[in-house]
Amino acid sequence: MNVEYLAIAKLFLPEIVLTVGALLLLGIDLCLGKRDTRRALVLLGAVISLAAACVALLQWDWRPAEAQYVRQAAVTSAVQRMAPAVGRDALTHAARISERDARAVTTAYKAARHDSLVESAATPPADGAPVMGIAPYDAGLSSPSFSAWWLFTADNFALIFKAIFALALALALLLSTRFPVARYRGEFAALLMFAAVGLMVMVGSLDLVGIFLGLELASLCCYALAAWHKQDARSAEAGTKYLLLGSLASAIFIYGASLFFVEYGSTHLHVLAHGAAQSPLTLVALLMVLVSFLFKVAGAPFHLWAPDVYQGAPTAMVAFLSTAGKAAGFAVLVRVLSAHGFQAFSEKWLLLFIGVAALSILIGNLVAIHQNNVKRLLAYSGVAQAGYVLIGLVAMADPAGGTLLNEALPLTAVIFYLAAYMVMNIGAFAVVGIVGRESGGEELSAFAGLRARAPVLAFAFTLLLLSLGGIPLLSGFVGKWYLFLAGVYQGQYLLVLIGTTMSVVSMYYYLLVIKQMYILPAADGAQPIRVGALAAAGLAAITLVTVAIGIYPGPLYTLAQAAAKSLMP
Amino acid sequence: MFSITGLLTISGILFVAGAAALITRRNAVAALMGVELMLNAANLNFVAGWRYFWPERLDAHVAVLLVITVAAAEAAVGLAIILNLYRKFGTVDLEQIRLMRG
Amino acid sequence: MIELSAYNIILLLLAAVTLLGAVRVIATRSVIHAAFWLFPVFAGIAGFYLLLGAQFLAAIQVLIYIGAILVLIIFAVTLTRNAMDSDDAPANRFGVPVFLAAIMLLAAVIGAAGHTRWPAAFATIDHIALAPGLEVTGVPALGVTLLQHYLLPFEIASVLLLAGMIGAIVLARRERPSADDDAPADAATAADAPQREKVGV
Repeated sequence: MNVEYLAIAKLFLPEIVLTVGALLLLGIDLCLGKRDTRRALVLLGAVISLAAACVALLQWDWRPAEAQYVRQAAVTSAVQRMAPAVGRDALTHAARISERDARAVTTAYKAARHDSLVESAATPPADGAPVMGIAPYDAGLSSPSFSAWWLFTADNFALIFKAIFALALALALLLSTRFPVARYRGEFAALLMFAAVGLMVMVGSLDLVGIFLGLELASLCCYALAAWHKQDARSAEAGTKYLLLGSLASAIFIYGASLFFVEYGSTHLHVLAHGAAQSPLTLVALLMVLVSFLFKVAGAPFHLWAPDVYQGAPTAMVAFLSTAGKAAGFAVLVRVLSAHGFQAFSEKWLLLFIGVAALSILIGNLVAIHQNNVKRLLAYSGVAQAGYVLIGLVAMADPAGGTLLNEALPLTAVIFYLAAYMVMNIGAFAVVGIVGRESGGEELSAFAGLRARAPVLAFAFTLLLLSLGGIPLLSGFVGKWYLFLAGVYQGQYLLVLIGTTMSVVSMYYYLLVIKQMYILPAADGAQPIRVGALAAAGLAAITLVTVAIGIYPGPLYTLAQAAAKSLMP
Repeated sequence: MFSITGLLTISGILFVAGAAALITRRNAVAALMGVELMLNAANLNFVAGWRYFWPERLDAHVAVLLVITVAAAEAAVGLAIILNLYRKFGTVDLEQIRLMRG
Repeated sequence: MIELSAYNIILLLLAAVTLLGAVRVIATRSVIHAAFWLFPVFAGIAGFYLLLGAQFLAAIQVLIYIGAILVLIIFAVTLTRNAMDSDDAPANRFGVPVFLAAIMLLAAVIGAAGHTRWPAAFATIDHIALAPGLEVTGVPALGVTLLQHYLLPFEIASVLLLAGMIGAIVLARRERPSADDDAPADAATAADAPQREKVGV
C-alpha cells in the first residue's frame, strides 16, 4: 500500500466507511433480497453509520487550538508563497512559479501532512505580495495525496459535522425499519447513506467545485428518496417540487462559482480568501453562492419548497434532510463566509442574513400556527429554527464591519444548536412517522388521545416538542440560550427580541399538538399503537440525550467550541 | 474584438433564460430544460474565464467535465421522477398538481 | 465597436443562434418544440468551446448534451404527452414578475462584469490560434490532471453517477405486484395499477 494513498484514506475515513457500507448493503440486497432480511439490512446500515460516526470522532484533533493553527498557517503560507510577485494586471504566460517558491510549498505540504511543522514553512509571507490563484500543480505538485490535502480538509469543524450526519443517518435508518418504505428497502438505505457521503464531502471540501459535487450527490439522492413512495401521489409531487427548486439552487450556486473562477482563476476558498477584492462581480457571485445555500437551509423567503416536500416525502428521509441537510447548509455558509476576503462585503451580506433571519423566524412561527398537518407544522417550525441559527451566523460578524470569527461563542452556539436540533427533530419526525403509519395520516386529529393509545410515545413527543419550543432543562433551551446570548453580545438586539417573542408564540402551536395528545379523546375505534423494538430503543436514546444535554450541556459545548476554534484564523 | 464582457453577457442571458424557464414553465419537463440551460451558462463562464485569463490551468476543464457529469445524472434522475409523476397524475402540468397546500 | 473579422462574425452568429434557441425554449408553447430548440443552444455552446480552443470539451458537449441529455429529454416529452393538457398558456402566473426579476439579475451580472477592471493581457481574442501556454491543455494533460490532482472529485463523481443510476432505476421501474412486497400498503393498492388515474386538480 502506497503511503500517499494512506494519507488520502486518513482524510476520508468516514466517507469511505459509509460508501463501502452502502455498496455492501446493495450487494447483500441483490444476492438475498428476501422479505425477512430487509429489516436486518437496515439495521446493518445503522450499525455502519454508527461506526462512521465513531471514526469521525476518533479522528478528532485533541491538540490545543494553537497547535492546529500551525497546520492552517502552513496552508496559508503555501498559498501566499505560490503567488509570484506579479499582479493580475501584468499576467502573462511568463508568470511562472519560481523554484524557491515551489520548494517552500513542498516543505509546507510535507510538514502539514505529517503534522510536524518545520518552522520555516509557517513564517508569514513577506510584505503582502499580491496573491493569485495559482493551483499547487503549477508548482509541479500533482500527486493525488497533495490534491487531497489541497482540496479537502478534515479539521475539527468538518469532523463534528461528519459525526452529526452519521448519527442522523443511523437514527433515521433505525427509525425507518418499520416505516412503510414499501419495497426497495436496501436501495433506500443505500441512497440515504450516499446522501450522507455527499454531505460529508460538502463540509470537508475547500473548493467550490468540490462543494458542488458533494451538494449534488446529496441532492440527487434526496430527490429520488423524496419520490420514493410510488403508491402515493403526494410523494411524487414532493419529489418533483424538490427536484425543480433544488436544482435551481444548485445551478445558482455553480453559476456563482463560475463567476468567481472568471475573476480569480480558481474556486478554491483559500485563493478566494486571500485574493477577493472589492469588485462588483465578486459581490454578485458571493450573493449567488449564499442565496443558494439559504435555499438549502430553508430560510424564508427561500423556504417555499420545504412544507410540500416534508409533507409528501417518506418520513425517514425527511427526518434526515431536515436535520443533516440543514446542518450541512449552515456548515458551508460558515466555511464560505470565514474566507477572509469576503469580510469586505460584511455589511452587505450581513443585511441579507439579518433580513432572512427575521423573516424566517416570523414566517415560520406565524404560519405554523395554522397548520393542520403535523409534518407541515414541523416544516414551518424548521424554517423558524433556521432563523434562530441565522442569528448565530449574523453574530459571527462584527457589526462595525471588522473581523469575522474573532469570538468563538457565535460559531459554537451555531454548532451546538445544530447538533441538539438534529437529535430532537429526528425524534419528533420518528414519532410522527410511527403515529402516521398506525393511524394512516399525519393530521393533528391523528394524535388525539395518544396518551391512552401509546403513553410512552406521547410522553417522548411532549418532551421533544417542549425542547423544540425552548423549555428550560431541555436541549433546545440551552441551544437557543447560547444563540441569543451571541446575538446580544454582538448587539443584534432587535433580532434577539424577535427571536424570543416568537419562541413564546411557537409554544402555542407545540402546545396545540400536546393538547391533542393529552386532553382530547381518541377517535372511536382507535387501536393502541405498536412501537417496534428498534424504534423504541432509538426513541429512548433520543429522549435521554435531549434531557441530558439540557441538564448538562458541558461536554457538547466543549466539543462545539473546539470545532469552532479550528476554523478561526 | 470580442471581450470577456460579451461572453459573460451571453452566459448571463442563458442563465436568466434558464431560471425563467424553470420558474415559469408549467410543464415539468420544460422546467427541467431550464436547469440544463443554467448549467450550460456556468460551463460557458468556466471556459471563457479559462481562455481569457487563466490559459495555463486545467481547473476550468475539470470543472466543466464534472458539471456535465452532474447534469447528465440530474437529467436521468429528474426524468425518472417526472415519469413517476406522470404515472400518478396523468399530467405533468405543474398547475394541476396541487395535492398539498396550507 | 466589434471589429468584423471572420472570427468575430462566426462568434456573433453563434451567439445569435444560441440566444435565439434559449429564448424559444422559454417562449414556445409546444413542449416538444421547446425541446428541439435546445439543439441550437447546446450546439452553439459546443461551437463556443471550439472557437475558444477547448476542442475536447466541445466534443464532450456534443456527445453528452446533444447525444444523451437532449435525447433523454425528447423521450421524456413524448412519454409524458397528454391530450388533455391545454396548450394555451405555457407560463404560470409568475410570468411577469419573473421576467422583471430576470431582467434585473441580468443587468446586475452584466453591470458587474462591465465595472470590473479586467487585466489587459488577454482581454480580447480574435483568432483561434492558441495563446502561449495553451499547448499544455491538450487531452493528455487533461487526463493527467483529472486522475492526479482531481482524483478525489473524480471518484466522488463516480459515486454520484452510481447513486443517480440507482435512484433513476428504482423510480422509473414499473411496479408489478410481487411476492417480494413486505408492506401491507403495497398489496392493498396492488402497486400502481390504475396507471392513468387522475388524482390531481
